[in-house]
Amino acid sequence: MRNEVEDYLRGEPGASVSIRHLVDALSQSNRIKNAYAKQKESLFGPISRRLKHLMAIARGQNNPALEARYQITTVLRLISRRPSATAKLVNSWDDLKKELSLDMDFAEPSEEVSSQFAALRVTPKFELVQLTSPPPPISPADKKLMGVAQSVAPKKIEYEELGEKGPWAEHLEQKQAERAVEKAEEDARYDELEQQLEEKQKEEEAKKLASSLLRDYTNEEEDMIQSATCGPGWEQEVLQSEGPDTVLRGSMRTLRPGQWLNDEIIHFFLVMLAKRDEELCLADPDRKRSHFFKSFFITKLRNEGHTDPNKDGAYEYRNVKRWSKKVPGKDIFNLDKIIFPINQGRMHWVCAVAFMQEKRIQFYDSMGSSGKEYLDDLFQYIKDEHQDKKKAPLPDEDQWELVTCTSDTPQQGNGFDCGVFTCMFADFLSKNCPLLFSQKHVDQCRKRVALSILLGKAIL
Amino acid sequence: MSDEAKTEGAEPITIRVRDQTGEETFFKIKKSTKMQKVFDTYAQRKGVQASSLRFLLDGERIEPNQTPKMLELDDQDQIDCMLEQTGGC
Repeated sequence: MRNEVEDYLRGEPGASVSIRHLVDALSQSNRIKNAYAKQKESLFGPISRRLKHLMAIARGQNNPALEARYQITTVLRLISRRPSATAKLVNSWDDLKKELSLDMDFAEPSEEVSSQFAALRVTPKFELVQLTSPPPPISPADKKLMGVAQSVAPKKIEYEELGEKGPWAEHLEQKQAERAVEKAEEDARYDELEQQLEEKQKEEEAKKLASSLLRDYTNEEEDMIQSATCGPGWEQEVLQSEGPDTVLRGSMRTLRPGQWLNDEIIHFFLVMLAKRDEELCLADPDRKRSHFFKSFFITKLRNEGHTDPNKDGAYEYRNVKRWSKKVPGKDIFNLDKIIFPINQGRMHWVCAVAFMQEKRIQFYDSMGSSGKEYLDDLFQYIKDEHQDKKKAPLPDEDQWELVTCTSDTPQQGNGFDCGVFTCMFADFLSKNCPLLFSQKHVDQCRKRVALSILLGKAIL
Repeated sequence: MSDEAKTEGAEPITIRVRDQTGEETFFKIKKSTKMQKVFDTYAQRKGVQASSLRFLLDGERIEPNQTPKMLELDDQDQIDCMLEQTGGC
């Protein structure tokens, strides 16, 4: 962090920038973005977010470098919101540290800084500012608040000459203290309001996106779904195909309510999502492609079903070494996300997603299991793939985060809908939409999967 | 098609089919033979329905109409055979 700040300051001619600029610049650095992403992930209030953070520390998943950044970013955000602070100029790390030390404690503050600021904290600010330097320009809002101080300014000379505190100075001090309290309260209110507004906006946007993903279907569409999933016909009849992937009528029937989904449905739906992702990337050149592996990836990676009990469930990179040949760009490290559908013990569907740019692998299970063993193996795969394809160990290995199934992951309320949940995890996440669906949407989701397959494209 | 291509297609190669249990089955076929023949023979030998098997090359399904030549398969190359997967709870 320190290096980033110093680099930035060196790059600036004149070497003096406002805090607002610095915050903007630092927010664009990827590593800080990660810290932000973590914050944004939660739609809850600041207190529960803090708790979540503390819990992460308690779980031992914490990484001190990220934590320091997290704290500094939070403080920078607070400071940048305070109109009085954003214009302040800083020209070194120490300067910035001074600013920050009003709001946070550094692990090892230098003696010089801490003694200065111990002094600053007990001495009312106006004495330092008003007696030693010309007053800064005053904004109309400040003028109103400072009305009293302005009117007593001439008296200050008298106070200086006399060398002792007269009644005016006391009055001034008192007013300034009152003003500071008022200002702090105002700032807090402002912060809170802004945060509420931000959260509300995010929630609304997410809801809008989610409801667009779960729309109602027309009568024609309903008929199409009905005849494909429940109509008569030969089990082996090919109802839809896309390249080498096909869907037989028998598989389509697994989309009837209450039925277990088979791999053909899940994989074909993911092929449709890949198609949609490709289109979205064509429309938006800044968007990176995502890849959707088949569930057989994990089966092979972990040798699941091997007759040798020592091998069954054991990680083996060699088995999937060549699979990244079929990834867009043939490079998994340039992808946005990698979606891994997983078939657990031939009876349960779950999903893991590697957010390649955010350096995070997360597990999604509608039955709430943690998925730790899969996360560990997938992380190992990413490391091995980097070594194999880039001929170097994975850089920033300690920045990767493995997230076991979180408590807010949508849960199934029965023993047959996990395949649908897995499809929806992939669908929503590949569109960057929060997982705002639940058991009550499942019938609609089954139809969504069926219709996407029949139309040969993921419906928007 | 030129004579050269024809002779290349007629040349037999060995393809290894590896299943989940780690077992490998060898097939000697011409480069111009459709993979359908391999799939059907394999299913018959294992006593399972061909529709419950998924044949993969580097993680992608193989179309039964494709030939080793189209798939750029060489002698001793390996393809994967996976069993249908299903799940609900």
